[in-house]
Amino acid sequence: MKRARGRARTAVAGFNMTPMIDVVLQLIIFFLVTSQFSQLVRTPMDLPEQEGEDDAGKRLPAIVVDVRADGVFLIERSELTLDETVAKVVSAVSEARREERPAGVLVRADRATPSRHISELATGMAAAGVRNWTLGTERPGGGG
Amino acid sequence: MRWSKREITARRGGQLPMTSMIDVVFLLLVFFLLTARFVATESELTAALGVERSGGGRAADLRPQVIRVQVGDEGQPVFRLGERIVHDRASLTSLLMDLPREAGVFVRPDGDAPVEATVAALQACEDAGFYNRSYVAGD
Repeated sequence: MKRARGRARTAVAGFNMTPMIDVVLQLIIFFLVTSQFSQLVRTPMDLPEQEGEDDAGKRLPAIVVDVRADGVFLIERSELTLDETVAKVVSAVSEARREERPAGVLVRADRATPSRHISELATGMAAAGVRNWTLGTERPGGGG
Repeated sequence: MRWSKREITARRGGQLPMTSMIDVVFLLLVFFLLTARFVATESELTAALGVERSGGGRAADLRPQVIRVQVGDEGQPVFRLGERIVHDRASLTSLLMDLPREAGVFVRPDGDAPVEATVAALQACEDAGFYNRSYVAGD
């Protein structure tokens, strides 16, 4: 039996990169779509789980006030007293009105917070002329 | 001049080197893996502060409804609407559906009632079509 002469043909195992690049690009698109950079500035809170209003997502509040379960008020993660909080709210609302921006106030309270703290804040804001405020909720079953 | 096999292929059809693109793609992927944060979707409920009125000469069906949010004997929140007491949001919504909406509704929580119950009362008002609602500072 004669062996074939000439150069021996060796099989080269190649690695096909195309499907891997496809998958990687899909993963990138997924993370691009799902990442929400705007949530990074909000204090993580255990908000009451309710559906809220239908058009809630379209509003941009002038200021966000967080209320912890122990009654501490927070604005941009800084702890403030009630008077300081009301002063900051009034300042933010005045500035928003001057610049003709939405002048709403979003109050994000932990679900276990006693309502007296919300009442104190609401009374303080009302005395300063701020009545346009909303309570933050967490939509049940949603995540993004 | 002898061309290598690779050069011949490049001259014929054009080749796109993928190595750099793969490097960039992996860097982007690692960036988004580290920075992505899955958070719950948030919403809002309007709670404009109002003043509880007591109109003695007005017809009963023009007076705003008042929902008291209290803590019951067993430590669970309860909702009081007039003489009726209910324990959950669905029951409160059912009660509100039968009431006239024109005069609006006040939600008045007790001091020790948790915010979760207050928000549930506001949501019940929203679900029952009471868009004219106000949060009244309680005790």
